[in-house]
Amino acid sequence: MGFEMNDRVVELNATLEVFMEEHIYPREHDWEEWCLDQNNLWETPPWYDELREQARAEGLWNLFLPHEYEPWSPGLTNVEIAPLFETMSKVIWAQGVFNCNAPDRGNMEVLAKYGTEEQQEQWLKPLLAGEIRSAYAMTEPQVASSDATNMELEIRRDGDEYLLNGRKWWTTGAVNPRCKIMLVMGKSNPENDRHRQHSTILVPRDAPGVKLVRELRVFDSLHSPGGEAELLFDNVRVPVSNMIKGEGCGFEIAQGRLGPGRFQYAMGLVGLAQRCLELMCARAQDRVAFGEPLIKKTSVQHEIARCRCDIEQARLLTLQAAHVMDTQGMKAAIPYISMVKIVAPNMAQQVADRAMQVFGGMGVCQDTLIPAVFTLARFSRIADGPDEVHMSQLGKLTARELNDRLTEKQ
Amino acid sequence: MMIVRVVIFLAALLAAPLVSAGDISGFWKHSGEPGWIEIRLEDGKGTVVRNDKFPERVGREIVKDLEADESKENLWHGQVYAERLGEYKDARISLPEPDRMQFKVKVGFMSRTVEWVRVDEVPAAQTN
Repeated sequence: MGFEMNDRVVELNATLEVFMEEHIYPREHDWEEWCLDQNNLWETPPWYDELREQARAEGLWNLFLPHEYEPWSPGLTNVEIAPLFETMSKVIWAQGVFNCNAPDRGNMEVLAKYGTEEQQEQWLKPLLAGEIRSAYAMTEPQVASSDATNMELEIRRDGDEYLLNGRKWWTTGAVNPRCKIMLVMGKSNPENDRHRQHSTILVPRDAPGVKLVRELRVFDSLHSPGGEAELLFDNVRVPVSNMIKGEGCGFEIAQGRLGPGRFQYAMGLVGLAQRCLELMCARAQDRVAFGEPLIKKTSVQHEIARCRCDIEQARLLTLQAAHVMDTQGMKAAIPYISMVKIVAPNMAQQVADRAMQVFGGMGVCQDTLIPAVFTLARFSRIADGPDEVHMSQLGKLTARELNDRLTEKQ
Repeated sequence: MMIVRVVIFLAALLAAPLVSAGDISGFWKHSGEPGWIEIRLEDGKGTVVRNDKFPERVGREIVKDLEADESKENLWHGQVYAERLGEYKDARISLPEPDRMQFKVKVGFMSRTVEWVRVDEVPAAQTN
């Protein structure tokens, strides 16, 4: 099967590539310098909003939202979105310039799909306009959050309000002052079946009782300006109208949110791995050791070849996942979503590791994006469900599917 | 025949974008630092004329070999002096707005952008 781009996607991709060349790559060093300066902690570089305005003016905005979300969506299918996502992901922070970054994109999908008119007016519109940022609070420090049924944060109805008590961590983006709204998952109906006990509710970031316990470090990086927050919800009150879809729908929403999110995450990692490969080839061409450029050495050639194979495999698998999502729906795509969630972070981690080895000392410092790709890929093997959960799910699904087929034949 | 040649020559001159639509000649102030430079397109050079943080840099040729891009308006190519590296690096110099100039310089495997704002004149350095 081929995944040829149609004229609209070719044109959009070309525009994106020019934008990356003219506006994003020339700012890579500035971004690093800005984020490494402790005086700028949690602040966005002054030039960043101007880039966002330009991207929006050029129609490179909210491209992540597939056509079923019209009128909010620019009208692309997942297969059409995939190559655009790869291009805009070649620099880690670039997705945000196009308003396509996590966790906002997943939160916007939830609000577009399940939000009431009031919720969409108050939160979705400013998110789509890029005026505010958001966070998704799911993982909890005191329980194994790989099993999402373990979530303990209490959501209790109290008259016209819900009362929230509990702890969350790894709430990406919640440290940044631009973060105004959080989608919080917690237990509202402990009497229900296991997968109907939880709900997702909107909590303004500045709601009384939401306390920042600390900023977490990822491999010693604070991930500024977004940050990774550990939060305490101490008698937080929100109106009942903040409930998304209804009590007990938390799992349904999480599945709906994380499914497409994993495909987009995977394509982002393909883009980052491709960039590492490009840098690796340039370095191998330039650098001379023991009388010849590194590219002349068989071991380096083999590493480049392995990277290309791995990236292409992951790219095609991700496109296939997108194709199944487009043509057969999310349910049929579940095994593919698991596959890309397992394959892409591991692939990107491996590619970054090989690129580091070819670069030598420069590959482990702030002079390239390679260490950031390595740590992001490693982090991604745990975030949004660890490898093992997806492998177990995929293993069970595969065995069931194949055994059913065998039974049908008998 | 002569007239045709002249017309072709003039048309070629008009078509050749040897001179960019904008002009970066003049005085510029760094967007975030107390530093001023002067660009002289006729010489293809830019010089530091005032720097309150590093006065020893005054007189340094910060830009050299300036040439207009042949295919794009408001774009020049040249060599910009990278202080930290102590050497000249290839740079793309653009004019996104008439009074705003950007140097885009590749440093290793990453690039940086330095912004300048046009000023009519360089204010006299404060003396104590």
